[in-house]
Amino acid sequence: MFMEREVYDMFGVTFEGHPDLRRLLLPEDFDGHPHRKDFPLGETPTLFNEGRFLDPAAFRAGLVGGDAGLTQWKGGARKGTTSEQEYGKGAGMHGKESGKP
Amino acid sequence: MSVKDLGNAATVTREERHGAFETKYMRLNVGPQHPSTHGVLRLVVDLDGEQIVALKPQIGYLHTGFEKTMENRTYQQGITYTNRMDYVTGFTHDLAYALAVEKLLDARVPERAQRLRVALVELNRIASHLIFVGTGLLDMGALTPFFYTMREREQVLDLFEMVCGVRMNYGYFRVGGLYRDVPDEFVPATRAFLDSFPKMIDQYVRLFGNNDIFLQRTKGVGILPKETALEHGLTGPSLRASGVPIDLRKTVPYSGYEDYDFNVPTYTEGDLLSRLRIRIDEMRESVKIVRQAIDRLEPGPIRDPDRRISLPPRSELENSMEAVIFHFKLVTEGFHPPRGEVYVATESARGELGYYIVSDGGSMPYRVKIRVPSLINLQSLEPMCVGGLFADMVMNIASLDPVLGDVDK
Repeated sequence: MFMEREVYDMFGVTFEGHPDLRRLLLPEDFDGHPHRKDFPLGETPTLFNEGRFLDPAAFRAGLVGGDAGLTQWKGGARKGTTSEQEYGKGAGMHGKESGKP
Repeated sequence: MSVKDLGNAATVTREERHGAFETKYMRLNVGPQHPSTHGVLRLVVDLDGEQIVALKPQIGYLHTGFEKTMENRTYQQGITYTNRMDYVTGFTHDLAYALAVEKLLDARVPERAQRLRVALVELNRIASHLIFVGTGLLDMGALTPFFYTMREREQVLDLFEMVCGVRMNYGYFRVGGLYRDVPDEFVPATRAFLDSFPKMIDQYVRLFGNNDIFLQRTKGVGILPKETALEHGLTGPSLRASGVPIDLRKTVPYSGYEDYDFNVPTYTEGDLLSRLRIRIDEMRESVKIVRQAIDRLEPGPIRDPDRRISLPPRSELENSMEAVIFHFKLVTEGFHPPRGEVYVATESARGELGYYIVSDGGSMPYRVKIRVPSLINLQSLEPMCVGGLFADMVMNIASLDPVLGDVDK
């Protein structure tokens, strides 16, 4: 039960005849299967409640004044990643609420 | 309705209990932040009065992605992550991981390192079972045993602190041996602990073993038959309490366990009481193993002398260019095991702990899959609880001994 669900969660492999094939460890609205080799590592923007938005790359860039991280991954795979401009501005930890990093 | 009136709750049908009354099931959310769930375990329970009709564990609140992280670290760095999963028995995880990589590398671990590993892993098993007994009884409302077991666990943690400087997240094992040798005072201190500890176990048993409330709440409660346990993939002490005498230390010996003289305690009842008793018996067996391990301890190297796996000693770095090169290679990129895959299963304090590692010939594993016992044992919670009382559910969780860091990895 749990083992198949874990494989489905991490790799997206589906099992026929499984009674309860849901995600096991990750949230149900998570997009993608992170143990696949093409899943980007780190720098995953995270959406919190009420639209508060944390983009690690932009957050770090805001702190050190550099460019947005090593991987240059611009997100988009996760639900809640709204638009390109938001990253470009370095929306930082507080997102829309304040401009401070 | 008292516990006795209900009898074996699973056989009481809905009609018998309610007659003509139509009641609705109540859905109750237990956890994730609740002290009796031993971490961040969330359970969605459907209740018919006091009786559980359905139970679904919702996990993942502590998911950290260790497997993926380990795919992006060198093999030797992996030890840093393994002991953070099951933070109660870190040494068993370290041992399983080290054994798997050593099998891949075909490394030879010196005798002394193997004995010390066995001694530390068994001491860790004692520490883990002490937590089990203490917190398990705490869930039942017995506060005193918790202080007693924590007192002894403190002594074990002091031994660990002596060995590797920390009481948790040890990181003391290395692929190919150990990080360094144990201090001289370790062996006498361990002997002193081993001499006093069996008397302490007797003390616990005197404290609660014949307590009527304790027996009423554990005997015949949460029964898991042998077949159901095997169907749900249960391993470890909980499975042996259901009457299946499988212990990987006996069936697939590793780290020289075949040389030690110890028994595998088995019970046939499969209820809460036997799951608790088996841990107490296992602590006594672990004492025997640790004693044998430190009795046979002889001076010698503690790491594989192969320079491609373990760092050269500091003294060599000053006069040997070759040692400097090996040192540089190991520190910057680590070793490169040959292509292949390996699975090593060990007996952790909770059950079968296995590491499956795929190597593509690089200095980082291509894939690490960890068969964590806590996660798979959690599957047995549903058959254990359904039909029973809600108040017993908390003890059923405790009796499986899940560590949520291990469940969610």
